[in-house]
Amino acid sequence: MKHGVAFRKFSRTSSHRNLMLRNLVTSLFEHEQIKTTLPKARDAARLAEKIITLGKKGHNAAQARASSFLLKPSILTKLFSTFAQRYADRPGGYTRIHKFGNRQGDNAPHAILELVDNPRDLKWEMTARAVGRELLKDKVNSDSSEAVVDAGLGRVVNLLRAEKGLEPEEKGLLRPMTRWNLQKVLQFRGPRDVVEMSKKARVYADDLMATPMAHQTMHEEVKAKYPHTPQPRRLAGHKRLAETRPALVIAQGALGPGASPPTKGKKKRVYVLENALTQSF
Amino acid sequence: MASLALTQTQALLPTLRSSLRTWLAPAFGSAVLGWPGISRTLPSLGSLLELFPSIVLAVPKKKTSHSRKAMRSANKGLKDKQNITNCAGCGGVKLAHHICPNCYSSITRQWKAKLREEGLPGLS
Ligand SMILES: [Zn+2]
Repeated sequence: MKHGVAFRKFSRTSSHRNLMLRNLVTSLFEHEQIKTTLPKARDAARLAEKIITLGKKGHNAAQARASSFLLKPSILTKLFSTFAQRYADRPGGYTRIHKFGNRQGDNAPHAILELVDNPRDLKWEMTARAVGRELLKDKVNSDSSEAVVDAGLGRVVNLLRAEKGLEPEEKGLLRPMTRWNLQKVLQFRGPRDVVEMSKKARVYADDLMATPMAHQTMHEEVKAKYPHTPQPRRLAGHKRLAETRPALVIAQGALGPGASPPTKGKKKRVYVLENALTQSF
Repeated sequence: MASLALTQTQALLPTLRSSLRTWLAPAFGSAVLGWPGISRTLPSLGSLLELFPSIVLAVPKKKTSHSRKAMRSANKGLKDKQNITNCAGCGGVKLAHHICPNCYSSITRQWKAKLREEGLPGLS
């Protein structure tokens, strides 16, 4: 029975294990984002939170304990200035773990451990992408395709401000999960970050429209050289803007339930835009 | 043809036997006469069998046929993954509860390009 054994041993002696975890935490504070195996990330995150709490306390005893834990003296100043300031209002939960598939080589579960609200916050970036994609989909549904291609998303700051204030059960423009992520990401950030987020979403929506066109031009260049080059194809399960079915069903192609038969029926406007951009691939 | 060959060997059998006997005789003779002590100590086949128990346990009685083997392995294959979802950012496929590797690579490439523009040394 595994009773009273709370933590992992990592097949190491306690000195080896403790030094490894201290090293991981020091690297996390130095780079604000590290990639390691999932169990190591979980144990390192726990210790990192404790050290950041010391950083927020800031008195002499905390300084002494932090300096006896961290392996680089230069990180101490960062801890007691940058992190203490950044997490002043946040009641714990200073780290975030993203699962990242299995590692090439030994197939160990891989994870990215990062400090919340760091300058290169992955969740921030991913939320900006999701917001951009969803707002673009909505825009194409309401406006004409030409207008969307010309203007892109336009100003969305006020939209995001409205979404930030919505309750989970209320209906807004964004999907509930995306709105949840947006609210989480903006929770301890200033009002300037909403503008930043809207800018990122707008840029990403432009990216989304430009990518298929770029692929098409690349394809035409290759085709000019080698006339028998086949049309590029979307990857199996790739979700187009207007798609509502889950990935496993999309991957079944025309055999999947809900697949529209290749008739001359009226297509949704989003599909028309995507077809215009990608010329049917 | 086979029957013809059989009758021929049957007709030849007596001469074959006699030639075999003359060829084998010196070999047997030397074995028995050369080391008479060994032939005395060699146990007979019957006493060797006595060493084994009368019933041999846990041994397959029959060879497993291809059909049986195929039937046994029918549910041993890999299971299909069901935890595949679409990325909210790019629409590609990814594992549920995992970060999208496609988005991650494009985001990190943007960061690295920015660093290169600023002329700073690359981070992580
Ligand atoms: Zn993605």
